[in-house]
Amino acid sequence: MKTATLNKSEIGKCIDLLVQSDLRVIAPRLIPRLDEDGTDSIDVLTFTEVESGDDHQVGEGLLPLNGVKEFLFAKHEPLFAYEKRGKKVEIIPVHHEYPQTVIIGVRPCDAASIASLESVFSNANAGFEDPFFTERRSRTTFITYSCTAPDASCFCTSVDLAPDSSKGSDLHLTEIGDGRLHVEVLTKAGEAVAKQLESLLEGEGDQAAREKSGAEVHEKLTRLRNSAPIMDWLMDTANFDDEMWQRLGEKCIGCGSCTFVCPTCHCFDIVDENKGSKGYRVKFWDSCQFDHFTLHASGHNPRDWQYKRYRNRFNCKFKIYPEKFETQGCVGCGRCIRACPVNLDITEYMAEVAHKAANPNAIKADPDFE
Amino acid sequence: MTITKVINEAPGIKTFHLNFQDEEVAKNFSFETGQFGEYSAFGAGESTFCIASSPTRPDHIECCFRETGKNTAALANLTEGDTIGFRGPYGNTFPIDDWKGKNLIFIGGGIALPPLRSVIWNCLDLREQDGRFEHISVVYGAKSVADLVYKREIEEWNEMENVTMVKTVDPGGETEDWDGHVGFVPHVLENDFKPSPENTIAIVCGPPIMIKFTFEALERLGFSQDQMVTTMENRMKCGIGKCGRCNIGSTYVCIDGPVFTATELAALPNDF
Amino acid sequence: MIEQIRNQARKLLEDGDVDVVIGYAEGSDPCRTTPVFIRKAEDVDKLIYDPRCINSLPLYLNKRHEYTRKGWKKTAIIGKGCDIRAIVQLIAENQLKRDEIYILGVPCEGQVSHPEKWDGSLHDGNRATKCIGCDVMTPHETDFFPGDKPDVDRSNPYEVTSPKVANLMELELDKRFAFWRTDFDRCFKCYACREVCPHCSCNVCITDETTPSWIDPAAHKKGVFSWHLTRAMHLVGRCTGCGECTRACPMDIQVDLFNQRMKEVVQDSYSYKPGYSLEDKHPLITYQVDDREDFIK
Repeated sequence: MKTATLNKSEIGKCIDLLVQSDLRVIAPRLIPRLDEDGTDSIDVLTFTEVESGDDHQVGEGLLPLNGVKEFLFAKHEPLFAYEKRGKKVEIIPVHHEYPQTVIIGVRPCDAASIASLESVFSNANAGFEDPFFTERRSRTTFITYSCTAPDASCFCTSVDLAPDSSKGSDLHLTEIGDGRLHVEVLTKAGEAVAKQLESLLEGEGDQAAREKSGAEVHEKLTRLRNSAPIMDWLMDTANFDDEMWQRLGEKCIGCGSCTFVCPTCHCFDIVDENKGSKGYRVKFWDSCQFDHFTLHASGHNPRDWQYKRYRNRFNCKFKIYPEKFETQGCVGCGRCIRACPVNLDITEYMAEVAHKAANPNAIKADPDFE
Repeated sequence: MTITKVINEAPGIKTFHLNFQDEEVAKNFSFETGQFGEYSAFGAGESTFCIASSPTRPDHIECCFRETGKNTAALANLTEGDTIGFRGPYGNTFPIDDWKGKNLIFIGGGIALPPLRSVIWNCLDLREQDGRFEHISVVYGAKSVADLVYKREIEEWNEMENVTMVKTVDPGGETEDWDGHVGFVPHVLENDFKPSPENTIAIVCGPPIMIKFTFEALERLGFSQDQMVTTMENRMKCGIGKCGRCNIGSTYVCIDGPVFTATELAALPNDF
Repeated sequence: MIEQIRNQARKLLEDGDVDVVIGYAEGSDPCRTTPVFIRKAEDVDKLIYDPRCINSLPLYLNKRHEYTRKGWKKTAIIGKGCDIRAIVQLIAENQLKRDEIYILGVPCEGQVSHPEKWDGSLHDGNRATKCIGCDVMTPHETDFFPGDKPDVDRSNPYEVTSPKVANLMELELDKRFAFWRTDFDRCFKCYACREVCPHCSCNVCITDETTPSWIDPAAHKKGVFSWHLTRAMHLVGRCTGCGECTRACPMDIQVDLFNQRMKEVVQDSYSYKPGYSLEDKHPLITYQVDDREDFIK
């Protein structure tokens, strides 16, 4: 593996070099404010396309609100267009432009989520491939950046990840002090990017400093949970009816925030958008938290109460992903915790399950609760 | 595909006979009984229905649906000659190879006969070809006589040798000249038909509540869970395991189903 | 103060006067609080109230969240002024009956706008904009209030609005539209703004209707704009200014600026502030013979 050193102050120049080689570059930026009007404004980051290296927040702040999911799994896109002519219908393919893209400043949790999305959308899943996703994925390179200051909602170390992990990365950057970054070139795509940036990379990096600084950040995470017993506990179908689901989940308002900001949530819907005799068949983000998500045409809804919908989400992260797709479902980014308007906390569920797994007779299901 | 025939089965329920417009596609298309497809009226959207015809009769495929919402209403408005969209075949299949030499009982209710119809004709055709199945029975009921689907074929099965046709309508749904049973399907199954579980497989299809009661009735008649098979439905969109909608626990009905044995169903969480 | 509330809640539960008390409890982090449903008298000590309690609890009382309320006949709810405005508005619209609700009013000096700004106390550096100039710090409609309720002048016609509204109104139309284009680019139609709103109470929201499909559910420009503008119009004369929609937005879009501007319009047109009177119906659902609009005469 090739390693090198890069000055943090030259990241802007890196972005310029990449933009100049006709690559689309996406980096964290501060959301522009209309005005500075006091208490209701706070600094927020999102991943957006950048035109120059003057305006970026790579390595600053913590997590952009949106993550990288939307650049691989589009928020909305047409599958094809159609035109009805009498009794016949013409299907018109829609050409999708997927430019070669580099996303820079991706944190390890977001990078780890890419493998999870791949396991769903690639043809490893039931032999069907989502070509929209795989096309975008094949044209995207990830330059990742180790965390230095996790916040109280981060819990990647509780789900077998780390704030300095290079999982999912093509080129990984870690701060090693004195304004320098240790660079790890991990894949062919990473090599291609390293070549673009070779004028700014020097030396061999400092592996020991990288490991030391990485390890120091592990200690900074305060939200620690034991996730080891969770999958087995969920595999026992009797626990599907445990009283904890309603007790913890009854305050959930079904807003869908958690699923949309979650890097591994992948549910979508398909509808026809019609205008006269022409239209598009469109695929767009959906959420298992919506009340009509599983509603049958007959009126039957297997998940009629909100707590059942959140139960499905928890199962999806900690059982379906590892069992069915053999990847991790939750990457511990903490976005769902920060986004939830009523402070529904996935780590509270984790703690509850770990407690019940350790004390199987502690609280029995209460048939009178419902 | 082009709609080559429209049959009004019952109030609000239609059958479409469909043929591919592209000959290459038609030549290369094949499916096995139990599989489903995504049928669409362009401008409305896609709906999931089983392929209701048998693979042994491949000159066209069929679907049967009830008009209940946006997509099915748009489909119901189409007539012969119109174009619909089709994606498929998806899902797993009825394990008919496992049923060689056995008696088969098909039990259905209301709009749930179409998925069974595919496998009934498939088994009848194969039996005629090489006698691989023993006695075949069909137990089917609907809310009323008018709501029975495939009325013509119920009579055809009634006339066939080595086939027992048990038809029933819910109490209050009978007409004056009704010559079948009166009672809910699980009740008629357990109290009137009383099939023996000896060397028999029961294939059940219906709304979740009917499947539950029918399985219980079959258990009381002595059937083991391995002898009971069903085909499930759930709200679906993509049909190919990507959109995350149809799961029951970790089981995706579109790729791990829709056909399940009662043993497999019992292992699933209470999520359907 | 909170002790008196807890005592009253305990009494209500012990006497069987209410099935549940909805209030605030400590959240999963020191800077957050969370809604809590207290059903047993011994649990009332979980109830807290301080400037972190920004959640609007009346959302649990509207029809859209009916499942949560299944089986509750009478509900007690802790309400700060803005929340009580929402409850009053729900009652005025016949979404709730006054005798179904027992309002435990609390005095409020303001709320902290974001959890990350909480440093142990409320001050000018972290007070939410909506709280500056609030006239329901002592709530107006209560069944129980700890201590005496001083008289408050609530005659000010205009509500608190963010300076952003005035700033936007000063912009040229194309620049204003550019601002919204940029902000709405982030919207992915999660509908958090709808679910936290006490007044978004339709059992089937217009955007979930499929026959016909009024609003495209996809998050393209048309789908996003039509959603937010429709929601703003459906809330005209009804929004009680809790600001929860903006707080709940996971992409930090200032969705309630529309609502704040529409309040000014409603006040100019009808001299009406929603959420203050149990009897006054809001102007867009009532007709009086002496209405000044003459297009309908």
